[in-house]
Amino acid sequence: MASKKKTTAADTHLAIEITGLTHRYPEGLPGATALGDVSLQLRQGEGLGLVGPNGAGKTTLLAYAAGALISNAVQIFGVPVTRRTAARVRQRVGLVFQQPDDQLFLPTVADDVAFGPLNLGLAPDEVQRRVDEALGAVGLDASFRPRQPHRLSGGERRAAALATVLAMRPDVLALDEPTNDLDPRARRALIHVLHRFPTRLVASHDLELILELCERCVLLDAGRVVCTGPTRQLLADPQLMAAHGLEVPLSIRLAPHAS
Amino acid sequence: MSSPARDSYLGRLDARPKLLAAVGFLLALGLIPRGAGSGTRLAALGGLLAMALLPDGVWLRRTFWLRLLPVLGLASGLGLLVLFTREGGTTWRLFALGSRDIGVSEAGLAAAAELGLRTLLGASALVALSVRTSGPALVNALAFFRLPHIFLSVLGAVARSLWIVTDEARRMNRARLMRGAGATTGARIRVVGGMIGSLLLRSFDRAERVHRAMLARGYNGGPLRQMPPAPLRPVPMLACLGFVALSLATRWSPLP
Repeated sequence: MASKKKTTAADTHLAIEITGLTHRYPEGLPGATALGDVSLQLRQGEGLGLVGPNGAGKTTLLAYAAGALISNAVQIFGVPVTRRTAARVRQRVGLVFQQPDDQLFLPTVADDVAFGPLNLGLAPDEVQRRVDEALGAVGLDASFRPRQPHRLSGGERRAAALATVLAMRPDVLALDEPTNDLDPRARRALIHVLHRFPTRLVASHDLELILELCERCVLLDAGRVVCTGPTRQLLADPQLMAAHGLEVPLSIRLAPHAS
Repeated sequence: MSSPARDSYLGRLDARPKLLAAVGFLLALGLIPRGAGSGTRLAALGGLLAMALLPDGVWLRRTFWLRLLPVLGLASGLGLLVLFTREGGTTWRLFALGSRDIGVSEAGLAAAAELGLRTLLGASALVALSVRTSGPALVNALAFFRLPHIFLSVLGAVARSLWIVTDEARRMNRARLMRGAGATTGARIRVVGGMIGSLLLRSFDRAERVHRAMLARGYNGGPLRQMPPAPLRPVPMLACLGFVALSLATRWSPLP
């Protein structure tokens, strides 16, 4: 699924750059700051993990990183996200939501997967090709095309939600808790698919997944970046993990050199 | 939104001719004039519908009756109203209500029977269509017949949202029952009221998330774009048109 989009002068080695992003909930109540002065960079070809306790601001940060929320503190391939550029930059980042039900809103799986390509103005043949390709990539055969999304199992729904994004052929995948509701086999199949997308931003509590998919990691807590570093090094720090409601992943704890 | 039985011939049939047949049947039903002579024509239409539906076995499905019952309940209410208010012909006195005699007239009986039969036939055709056709196929068939796109988008979204809200309500209700339904009627009413409010807020949040998901995939407002429909096959189309023609013919047939 290599992208065929034209590169522009604005393309840089940075896929996403966020500088001093702040987000407050509309209520304006004390403690309503979801993100405070957050900065991070995602390089092209890099897997970046977002970890942190519940309510750390991971989902909101992902929405900004994908251009779903607008702020010119965010640049996607060098283009600041504004009302004017939002539609264009959103095509380059595929956002997979935490709840597949939020992503699947059309009557059938095929309609849902075709939604993005149709919005790109592609010809029907090309749309069909992309639908087949995306469903195939997530392991859903042709029998799923006429199925109603809300009648799929949790794993199938998650796969269909991923297919809706893959059909857009994004340059970057932004995933919010992608392994929720998945059994071990479906989880492994998902990881296998995600390995084909070198540039990815993954927010998850599944730290084993982060270890496997992301070379670098950002620890968020209470809407602020606590630290950034190589994933294995950051997740292996027991004091740091405990201070922010996390645990050192089992695979690190059981590794021979861990003692 | 139903799951049509794929092993039935109506379930396998393209939704577009099915929709055409149902609408044609309703038109024929509406064209039959009221009063004398309508009975035999309505019976003929009923026979035609029975012949079309009987081999499918849709009448054996519980869903069919569950969907039909509310319509029949409404028709019964209206039928009773007609029964006791229409005057004409012989009147049979039933009881006295104060100073007024309440009875059933010959005309009232005929009108109520006709209303009941018309409702039964029309509702049967529509319910059979809904039981044997999936929601998405029905929406796509309506789109094929050029119904306004925005109406269809709303229809699809409403059907889907209804399922989600119902599912959410079922889960909330189960959680309520597991923790005790409430000691008194007043407590139960308060809990249910709170649940409805919570359901409403959840629905607002969800609508916002869905809109965000649409924007993330290139949606810029306006009608949803769709794939062109599959070509129509002539045999089912001709069979359904034949059914419509026969239904319409009952209006002008030389039946007594």
